[in-house]
Amino acid sequence: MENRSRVAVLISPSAVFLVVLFLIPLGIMALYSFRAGAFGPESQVFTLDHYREFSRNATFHRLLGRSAWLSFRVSLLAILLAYPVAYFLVFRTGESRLFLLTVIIVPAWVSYLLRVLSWKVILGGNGVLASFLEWIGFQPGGPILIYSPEAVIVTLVYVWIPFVALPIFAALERIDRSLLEAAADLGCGRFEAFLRVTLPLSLPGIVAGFLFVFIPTVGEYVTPALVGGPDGIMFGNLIFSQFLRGLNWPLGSLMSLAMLVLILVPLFLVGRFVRLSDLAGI
Amino acid sequence: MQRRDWFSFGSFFYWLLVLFLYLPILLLLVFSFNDSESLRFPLQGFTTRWYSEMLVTSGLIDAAKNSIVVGLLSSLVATALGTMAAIAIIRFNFIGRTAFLAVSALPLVIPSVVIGVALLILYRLVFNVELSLWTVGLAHVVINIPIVMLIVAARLAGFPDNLEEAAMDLGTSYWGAQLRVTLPISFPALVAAFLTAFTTSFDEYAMSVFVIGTDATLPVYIFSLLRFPRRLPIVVALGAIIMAASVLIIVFAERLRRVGSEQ
Amino acid sequence: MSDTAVELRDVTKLFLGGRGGGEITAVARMKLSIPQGEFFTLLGPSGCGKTTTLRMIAGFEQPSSGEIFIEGQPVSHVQPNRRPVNTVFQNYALFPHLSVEDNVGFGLKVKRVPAGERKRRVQEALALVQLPNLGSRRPSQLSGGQQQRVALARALVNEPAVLLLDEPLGALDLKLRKAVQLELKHLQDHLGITFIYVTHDQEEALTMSNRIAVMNDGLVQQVGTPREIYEHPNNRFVADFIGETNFLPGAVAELGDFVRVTVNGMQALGTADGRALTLNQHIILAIRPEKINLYPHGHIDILQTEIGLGGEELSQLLGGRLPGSIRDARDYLQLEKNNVVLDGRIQEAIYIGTDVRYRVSLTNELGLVVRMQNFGSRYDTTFRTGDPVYVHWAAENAQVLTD
Repeated sequence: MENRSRVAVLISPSAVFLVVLFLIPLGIMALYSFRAGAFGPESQVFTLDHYREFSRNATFHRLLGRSAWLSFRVSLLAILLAYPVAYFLVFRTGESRLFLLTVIIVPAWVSYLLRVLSWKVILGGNGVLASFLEWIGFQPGGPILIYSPEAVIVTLVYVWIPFVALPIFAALERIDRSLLEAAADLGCGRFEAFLRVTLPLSLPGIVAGFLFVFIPTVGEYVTPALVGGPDGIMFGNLIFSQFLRGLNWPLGSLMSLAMLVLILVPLFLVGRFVRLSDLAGI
Repeated sequence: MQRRDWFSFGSFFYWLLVLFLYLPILLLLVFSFNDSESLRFPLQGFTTRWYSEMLVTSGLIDAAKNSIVVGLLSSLVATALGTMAAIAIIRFNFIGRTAFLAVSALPLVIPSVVIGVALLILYRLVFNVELSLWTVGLAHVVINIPIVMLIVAARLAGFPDNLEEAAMDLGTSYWGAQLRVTLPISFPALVAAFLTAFTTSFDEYAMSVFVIGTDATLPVYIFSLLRFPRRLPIVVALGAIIMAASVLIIVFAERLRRVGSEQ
Repeated sequence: MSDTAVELRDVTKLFLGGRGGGEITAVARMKLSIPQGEFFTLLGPSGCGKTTTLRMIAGFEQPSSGEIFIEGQPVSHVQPNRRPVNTVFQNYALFPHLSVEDNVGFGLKVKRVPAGERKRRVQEALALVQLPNLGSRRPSQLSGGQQQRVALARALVNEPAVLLLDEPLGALDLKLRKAVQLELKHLQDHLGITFIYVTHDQEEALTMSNRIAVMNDGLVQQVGTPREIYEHPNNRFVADFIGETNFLPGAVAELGDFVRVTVNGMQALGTADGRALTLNQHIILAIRPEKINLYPHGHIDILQTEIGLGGEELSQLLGGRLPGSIRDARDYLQLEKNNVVLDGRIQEAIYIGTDVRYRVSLTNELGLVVRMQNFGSRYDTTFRTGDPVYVHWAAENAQVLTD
């Protein structure tokens, strides 16, 4: 049937890329977690040493947990800040809402690195915020916020708010207004209608936004490297150092696997309770 | 139930957020013209010397060129591949469609650091190739295919599938119908997808740093400059230009994406 | 070139899917022969396979078995773009990125017809569908009716041997639809191209077609001219789908020129239309509402009622000799062997302008719908609820159906 051959032609290039440059490398990475070493004769040796080391090393666990907790807080904060704005745009601004949304989205497309850098500049000891306060006569003494987990949180929230606003906006927009009218007709006040109708119906958007932030943030290492300082490093920095500073690639592979598992948990939970089509807004 | 509450709490919150989002960017812009090597208040006077210095920093120019080439090529490939895959997904029902959709969405949900690690292992330990701009470019294609698919598929779903049948009824082959009908109609989406892929590639750091060789891309170069505080103003000037260009590109891409869906 | 435009031999189409994960038979062992120049309609409810059949002729679906011939040539493995057919799609499928002119000329451009000739033929096609000045517009700027004409022009400009139309008038409002139906019929007549038309609207099919194939569940139920299908339906489905029919279940009592049947203890007559019947076979008597006449009880002057002339005038016409007065309509009707006369009572009378629709009960469970046209004659009888009536039809107007 010509249909099958057409599909084959259309799909194969992408399929090849995705299999060879994505699926297979992930699989090989998983396999490498069982090797004694990355290079030379050691790479032929099968071992569970790294697994043992990982399960014994409490620092690893703590860092992994801390990264998850930090990512959770960043996602939560981003949602808490983005939701009211999205709500305002959808329900209070009429025709200009798309334009106003775009105004919020545009900063997100400016280079990630530069946006993180701008916060480094702002929060640094000799930086913008400190010197500004100094200039107007307020002397706190010492760096404000930078090189701390809080700096990481602030910076990441800053980076992610626009990305969270989008799915929440889309979910709110899709709500049939006649449902709210029906709620009012049945006796709900404004706030109650929001709690009972709007909020539940916008839940897919909230979940989508949450995942959208949480998953990449778990693997963050650039922002911690720039503004986190020694207290603010995350699990991603540990992985980075295994590969680009040290040579314990098998351990690094294992760590990456651990991170993947950490991410799969919320994904799986979400998949159980929410349909994919709701998330994608189709 | 839509009221123009320009002076309400919601409005206040909105504009506060806008301020919060734009202030750091604007600060960078301001400091790119500041006549001082350190980025602090008070401002020291207007100058454009950072821009002119930037233009003669050879490492920077090379890195910029590299990023543009890698961006253009990888985006072209990703757009071509992603468009074809989108056509297959939207217009056909085939065994393995769901599996392919799932796999093609995966790069979006896996952190860059893990992808970078996996590709590094593939390049060095399996194929034993030197890391270079090629290895980076291929990686960029992989992460951009899903984005292209998303944008183009949305457009394809927006017009009926029997336009292709009508074209074949009138004498074209299947591939002729794609060229004469499907592609022209989805063209704005294709351009939007290309521009989005380009911006993603141009800005990519977290994954690229794992698979890059001696030739740097711009983000990698910028990061390396951060060790030298005296170079910061040049970085800021460069940043200002990149930001202005990204804004223009993205606004243009959004316009195109909208044009397509209104037809 | 053969005289047969399109022929289907034993064409079957199966689709995967369905609830048990098995196969759906969309079209079953279809046999059709459509001569050149005919306006042929595939008629049936949704899901009956008519659109699938059309798509197989166009080439967008392949038959699972059987063979399709277009102009005598087998085409099962010929791609749609190489068949001498063109399609008018239900949603018009106009190319939004091209002007009307470029839409219509699309097929010509693909065949590399030179620009001058292409322009001329496009103008002719647009004039044919009465849209001469809209060439430079975009489809989105046209009304539904105009878009439909552009779709028609786009197909016709290629001078196909066969034009396939897939419910093209579905999106138009009623009045426009009726006007376009007649236009299409005249167009086909004028051009002489074979039209194969798909619709679920039986009135549309009856209006436009030379012949109709009535389909249900993938099977052809009957093929015939509109008159044949309407007056002599083959089975219950056709009788029910086309127009309105009364169905009276019963059994065969006596065979002959006409068939005598018993229905709930009553006797009636019908015609078998060539069907083979056996005694005591279960049958269904089908009779259309307009074929039934109602007469009041009691003394009436039949001739007055039937021919609208009064006793005086009639007497003059007949030279002073009046036929014997008839006491009751029943006596009169039973003079003719082929008349069926039953007792009934009016349950409901609804005036709908052209007719009065009556629901008449024959027994407690059995009833009929009857239409009496409002002739406007002085002697029209209007019945009221509760009136006893004689129900009459001629045997040749009732079909004895076996399924």
